[in-house]
Amino acid sequence: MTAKLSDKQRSRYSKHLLLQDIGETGQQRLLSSKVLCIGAGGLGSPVIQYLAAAGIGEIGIVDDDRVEMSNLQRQVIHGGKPGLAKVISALEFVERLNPDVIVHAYDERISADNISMIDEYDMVVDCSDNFMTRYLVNDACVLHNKPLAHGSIFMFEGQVMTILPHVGPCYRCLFRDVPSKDVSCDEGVLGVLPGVIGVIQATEVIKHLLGIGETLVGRMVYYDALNMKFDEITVRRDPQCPMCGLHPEITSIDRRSYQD
Amino acid sequence: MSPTVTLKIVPNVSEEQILKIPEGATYESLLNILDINEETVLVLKDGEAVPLDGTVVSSNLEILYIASGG
Repeated sequence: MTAKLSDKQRSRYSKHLLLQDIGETGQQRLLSSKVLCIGAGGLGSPVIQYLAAAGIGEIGIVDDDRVEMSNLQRQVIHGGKPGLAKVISALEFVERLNPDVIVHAYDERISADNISMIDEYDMVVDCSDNFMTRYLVNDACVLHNKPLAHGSIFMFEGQVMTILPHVGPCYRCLFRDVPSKDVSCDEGVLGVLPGVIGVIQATEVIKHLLGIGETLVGRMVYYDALNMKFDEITVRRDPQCPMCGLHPEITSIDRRSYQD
Repeated sequence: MSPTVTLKIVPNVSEEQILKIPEGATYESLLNILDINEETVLVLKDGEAVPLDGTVVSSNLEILYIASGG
């Protein structure tokens, strides 16, 4: 049984309470939800910021990085914290923003050894910055039947989709194998880009938890900031997918498959 | 008759190209012709992702690079 909202909470979430699709029941649901955010960098910053503001009850944050000056052009929750562990910086940010939210800070890199932590959460948000982690997170979410909000960025462009295992396509339905060459922010990235993509990911999480609207299951939104264009790509489940196809080849998380 | 495709590669390459493709060519062979690593892209036909073993037909194609940054 979910606790009734306090007067302070009624005030804090009043604009949610006014929405028929959310209301008190929906807000209580958000307050009793648990979301794991993998990465507290460019995408993780807006995801953590907006999920905390929305009153997600428990947010897990996994990242082993320290805040660097070059992060601050886009990682908006880490201002004034160079050198601090990103998960601690994020925790302090959330504590200031919304005391309703409990943060579980994991100052470690997500890996095959600790990925089972997703079991503790209702939904996972992939804000990582490399292919290997993205495949690990996708595979674990499919195996553990955990909804996943995927987002990624490159220079001026971003991609977002929601993965509901065994209902819609997974990441491997689109990109079967881990590419041999990674592409990362070393190429440069427009500072506001992860803000747009991360906020879409957070929106998807909130919609999924509330069971409202249409999520990006089977659809990838492709955002082109330079031309200010949003395109929608229809993606279908691949019967040959090694993860969620008719005859899955990957049936467990083997750490040897997820090493750089 | 050889199919003609209008091709756009994103990100990085924004100019559209019009290409005549050998009859019976697959999307995989098209990527080989363009020297693009098939592991790193989605091929979109009129906005929908297509399997790489499908046969190329006259259409608007977009080759979308996978992004990994966060």
